[in-house]
Amino acid sequence: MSRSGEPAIEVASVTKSFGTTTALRGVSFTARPGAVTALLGPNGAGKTTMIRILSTLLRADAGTARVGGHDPAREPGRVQAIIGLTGQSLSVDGKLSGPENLAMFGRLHRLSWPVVRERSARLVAAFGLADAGKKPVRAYSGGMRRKLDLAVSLLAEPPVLFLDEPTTGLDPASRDALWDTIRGLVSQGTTVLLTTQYLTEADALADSVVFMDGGQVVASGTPADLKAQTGRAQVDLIAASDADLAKLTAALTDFKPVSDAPRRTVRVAIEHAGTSGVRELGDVIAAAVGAGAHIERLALHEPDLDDVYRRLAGHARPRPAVSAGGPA
Amino acid sequence: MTAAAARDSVTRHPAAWAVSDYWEMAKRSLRHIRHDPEQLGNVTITPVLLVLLMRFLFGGAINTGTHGSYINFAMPGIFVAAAAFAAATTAVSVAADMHEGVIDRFRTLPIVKSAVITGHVTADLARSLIGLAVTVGVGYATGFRPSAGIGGWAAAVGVILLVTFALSWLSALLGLIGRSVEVAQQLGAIVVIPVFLSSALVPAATMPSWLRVVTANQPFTQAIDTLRALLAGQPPGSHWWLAGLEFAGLIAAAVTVASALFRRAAT
Ligand SMILES: Nc1ncnc2c1ncn2[C@@H]1O[C@H](COP(=O)(O)OP(=O)(O)OP(=O)(O)O)[C@@H](O)[C@H]1O
Ligand SMILES: [Mg+2]
Repeated sequence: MSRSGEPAIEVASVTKSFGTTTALRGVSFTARPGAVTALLGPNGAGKTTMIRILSTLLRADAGTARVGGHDPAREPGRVQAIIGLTGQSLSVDGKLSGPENLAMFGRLHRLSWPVVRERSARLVAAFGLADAGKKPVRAYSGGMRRKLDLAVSLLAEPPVLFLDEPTTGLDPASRDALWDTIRGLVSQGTTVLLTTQYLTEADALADSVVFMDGGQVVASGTPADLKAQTGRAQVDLIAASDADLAKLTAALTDFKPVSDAPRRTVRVAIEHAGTSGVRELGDVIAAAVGAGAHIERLALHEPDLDDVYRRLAGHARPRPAVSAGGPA
Repeated sequence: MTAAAARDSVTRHPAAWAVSDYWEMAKRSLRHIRHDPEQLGNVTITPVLLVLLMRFLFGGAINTGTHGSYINFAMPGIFVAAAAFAAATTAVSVAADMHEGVIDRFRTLPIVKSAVITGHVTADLARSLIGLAVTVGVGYATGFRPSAGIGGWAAAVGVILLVTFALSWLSALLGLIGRSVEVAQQLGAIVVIPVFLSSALVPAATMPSWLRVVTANQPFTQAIDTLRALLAGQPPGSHWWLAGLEFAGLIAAAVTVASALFRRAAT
C-alpha cells in the first residue's frame, strides 16, 4: 500500500437515486491511507449506499470515486483486488460450515493454503468461533454469523476494508476483539472505512469522522475537531444539600439546566469553543455565586460525539424524498 | 497511487486463478449436496418411479415396434429425464444465491464471476451421474438389457452429460430471470417439459403428424435416439451429430444470455 499521502479513498460530488428516492446528493470526502474513517449519520442517511458504490456493488449516477487510485465503476477488477467488505446484511454461505466458508473465501481471495489455515485459526480463536464447529452457518446464532462474516472479510487483510455497522449484534468481548483486530490491521497500513451507530465506537477507532444526513455530508473532521466545533460543554454544579439544590436551580433557570442531571446536580450546557464559551461560563458561575447556595463541587465536561450527533442529525435539509409509490 | 493486492495474496497466471475459482465454486456446490442430501431426491426417486411406471404400468400397452422390449426403449428417455431433473436444481440454487447476501461478497471478490454459475452447473453434472447410476441399477433389476459395450456406454454417458450441461445453463438462466426463489423453482421445471415432448417414452412414429414434426426434430429426440442406438450397440447415424449441433447451439445461447443477465444484475 502506498503511503505517499494521497487519499486511499476519494469521493467527489457523488449522487445516487433509486427511482424517486435520492440516496446521495453530492457527497464528497476523502479517507487517509492507514487510518480509520467513520461514516456516521441517522438511518437512511446514505452510508450503505456510499459503501456499496465504493465496493463496486452500485454505480453512482454522477460524480467521481476512487479507491486506491482506481474508479470502482470503470476498473472494478482492480478495486476488488484491494478491498474487503463486510456489508450491512450477512454475506457468507449459510449452507456451508464456518471453516468451509473461511477456506473457500480465502482461496477466492487468492491466498495460499498455509496463509488461509494460519489466519483462519487466528480469527476463529480471536472471535470465539471454535464452538460453532462444523454446523452449517444458517444454524449459527445471529452474533456468531456476524462474527464469521467479519472473519471472512478480515482474512484477506486487504489494503482497504469497508465495514458497514460491523459491531451490530456482537457481545462486548467480540466487539473488543474486533476493535483490536482493526487497530492491528491499521497499524500495518490498512485503510478502514466503517459505519456505525455507536458513537463510542467512532470515538475509540476513528481518526476522522464524516457525518452524513439526508444524502449529504453535514460535517467532517477529527473527532476532537468536531467536538470542539459542534459540541456543547457541560458545567455541573453539585449542591451540598437538597435545600441548596433548590436555590441553585432557581438561580440558573435562565440557563435551561438539563432535566436528566445526576443527583443534587444542576447541569448546564455552554458553548465549548471560543471566548463566548468562557464568557458563558463566567455568567453561569456568577449566577451560582449569587444564589447564595453552598456548592460542594464544580465539574466541567468536554462534549462527546453524542452531543455532536444530536446537534447535527436532522438539521440537514432537504430530507430524502420518498414517494408514496415506493421505490422502483 | 498503485495499491498492492491483499497481503500475502499469491501471484499466478490469471488462467490458473480462473481454474482455481471454478474449482472452489464447484466444491462449494458439491458441499451443498453433502450438507443437504435431500437435493438428490429429485434425481433419484423420480427416475426410479418412471422406470417402475414404464416397466409395469405402461409396458404392456405401448407397442414400440422394432425396438424390442419397452423397457429397453424407455430407459434412454428416462436417463435424459433424470438429467433434466438434475438440471432443474440449478434454477433454484442460482436464484437463492442472487437473493441472498452472499452474492455481494462474490461480486466484490477479484474472481472470474461466471464461477458462481459454473459451480452449480458442476454440481448438476454430479447429480446427473448419481441419478444415472441409480436409474441404471433399477433398470437392470427390472429387465433392462442393453447390448452396448464399454465404448457405447462411455459415449452414452458423454451424451447424458452434454444434455445435463446444456439444461443446467438453461436452468441457470431461468434462475436469473426469476424474481424470487419460488418463481425460479417453477421456471426451473420448464427444462423438464421438452423431455416429455420427445420420443423419450413413446416412439415418434406413433404420434399425429403435426406433433411428430416437433418431436422428431427437437434436440431431446436426437439425443435420446443417439442414446438408444449406442445402448443397442448400433451406429447412431445422423442423430449424434444433430444432437451435438443442437445442444452446442443451446449451450452457446444459454451461456451468452445467462452471463449477460448475471453481469447486468451486478449494477
Ligand atoms: N435498493 C434500493 N432501492 C430503493 N431505495 C433504496 C435502496 N437502497 C437504499 N435506498 C434508499 O436510499 C436511502 C439511503 O439508504 P442507505 O441504506 O444508504 O442508508 P444508511 O445510511 O445506510 O441507513 P442505515 O443507518 O439504516 O443503515 C434510504 O432512503 C433508502 O430507503
Ligand atoms: Mg446502512
